[in-house]
This record gives sequence, structure tokens and C-alpha cells, in this order.
Amino acid sequence: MSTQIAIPDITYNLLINEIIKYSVCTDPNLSLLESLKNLTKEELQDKRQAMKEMGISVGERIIGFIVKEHVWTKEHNSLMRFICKELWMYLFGRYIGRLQANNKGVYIMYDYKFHWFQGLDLSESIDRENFEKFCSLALSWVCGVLKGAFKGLGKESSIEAAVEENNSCRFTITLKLG
Amino acid sequence: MVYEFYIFNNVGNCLFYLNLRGATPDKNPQDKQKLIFGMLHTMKSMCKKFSPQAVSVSPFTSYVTDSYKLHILETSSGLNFVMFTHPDMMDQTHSLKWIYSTIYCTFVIRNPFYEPKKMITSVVFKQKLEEYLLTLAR
Repeated sequence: MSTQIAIPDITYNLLINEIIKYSVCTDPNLSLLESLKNLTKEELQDKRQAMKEMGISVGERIIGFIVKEHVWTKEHNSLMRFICKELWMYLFGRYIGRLQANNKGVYIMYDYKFHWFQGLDLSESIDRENFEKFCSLALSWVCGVLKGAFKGLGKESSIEAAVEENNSCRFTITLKLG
Repeated sequence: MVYEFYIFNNVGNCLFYLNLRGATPDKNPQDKQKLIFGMLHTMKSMCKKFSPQAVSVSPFTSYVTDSYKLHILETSSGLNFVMFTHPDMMDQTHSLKWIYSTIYCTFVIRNPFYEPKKMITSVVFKQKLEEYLLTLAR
């Protein structure tokens, strides 16, 4: 019987930041900002893919942990509700803000309290582009977790994420029907 | 009315400086910062020695003169938050604590681009701090 220890999500927020720094800063003399500036498009895409794969691996295993106490159906809407409540509660200690669905298998999840990027000012600054590169790397990890979660539940999915104003994040999930 | 705000680390480096007075800036702020840190170090150790009970942390929190009042908060991590205000201002330990726990923790510690022991260059930290300090009345 495993006891659930609640870890505030700042712990792995900071750990993910360090993983990104480790993968981006290949030259020890350059700061994080300069290393991000020097990334080419292909390198950035490769790193995003690597973060996503890390997340997929984590997501699959977490789902294995969570579902042992739950009865689940294969119906899409209840799967989505499960993800919004149980998975988010497990990762971040709260429910996700809002879930929108069109009936063709595309869902949009809004999280209004996503505090990971509070320290970066994304509205107007010279380094905005580099901040956004950093955010996209961190969000690739979260997308990977979601993708891995769906894979663990037996569904193929494609996930995109975007940061919005005021600490909110939008995740667009497309589930393959059937 | 807050006049100036400084953040020093335990070695004496000034990590952050904010001037809210709108007066002409000093020609050499580093000299003033060194003076301030030296004075604070002396005050803290003096207060600790004069204290009637044995204390492990210096009890020094503020001093007041005719033209300004200085408030200081020293954290366990060695940071010194120093604020120069109008002499009539009440004790500001609670607001310094709030600045540390909310503004500093969110915009500096959570910022992946911040390097510890270096100067804080985050624009959003400066903005949020300025907003908060301007709301501090008597």
C-alpha cells in the first residue's frame, strides 16, 4: 500500500528547469539566455522532442500508478474528465480550470493557475523570444506527460500547448476516434 | 513613502537597487552601497552584543533619523532586504516579509534565468516590487 506524499509542484518545476538548462547549455561559458539565442530551429525542435519523450515515459508510468483505484470506461468524455481531475490532482494538487469539447475528438483544456512561468515576463521584453523558447521546452514535457497518459489508457493522441496571459495555459488535445 | 530599496547578500554584494525618489541618481552608487552594508553589519553585531538576553540572530530591525527611517529584514538564507522610508512610517517587518515570500520567491527563485549571487536583472521583478512599494502608505 503506497502512501501518497504531496510534493508541491515547485520541486519538479525547478527540476525541469535544470533539465532544460542541462540540455541547452552545451558551452559552459555562455549563460542560459545566450545559449537559447544560439539554438537553431532544428536544434530547438530536437530538444522539444526529447523533452516530450521524457514526458511520455513519465506519463505512462504515472497512469499505471493512478488507475489502480479507479474503474474507467473507454468513453472519451469520461476519460477526459478523469485526466482533468485525477491526473492534474496527482501532478499539481488541484483540478484543471476548464474543459471544452467539440464532438469530433478535439478537446481544449485551460489551466488558470499554471504558475511555472510566473518568473518570466512574456508581455513585452527584448528577450521575449528566448523566454518563449524556454517555455515551449518546459511545456513539451507536460504535453509528453499527457500523451503518455493517454497512451497508457490505450488512446492515441496529439497534444499542443500554449502559454496565455496571467499564468494560464491552454492544452489542445486531439484523440483518435475508436 | 518609500525612498529606496536594496537587497544585499551575506557577503556584501548589492543584488538589487531601486530608487523611488525621482531625484537625480548618485554618481557612484557602488560606494554608497558599500557604506550601507558596512554600517548595517556593524549595527547588527552591536545590537547583538548589547542585547540583555543571549540571541542567536541580531535583533536589529530599524533605525530612525529626522529625515529618513531605515528598515531591514535578514533572512536565514543570508539575504538582507533594506528599505529607506519617510521617518513617520510604522514598522515594516511584515511588508518586508511579504516582499520576500511573495515577490522575491515568485519572480526571482522561480525564474530559470536568474543566477544566484549575481545582480537581479528581471524586469518583471522590478515592476512588481515598484507597484507594491508605491502602495505602502503610513
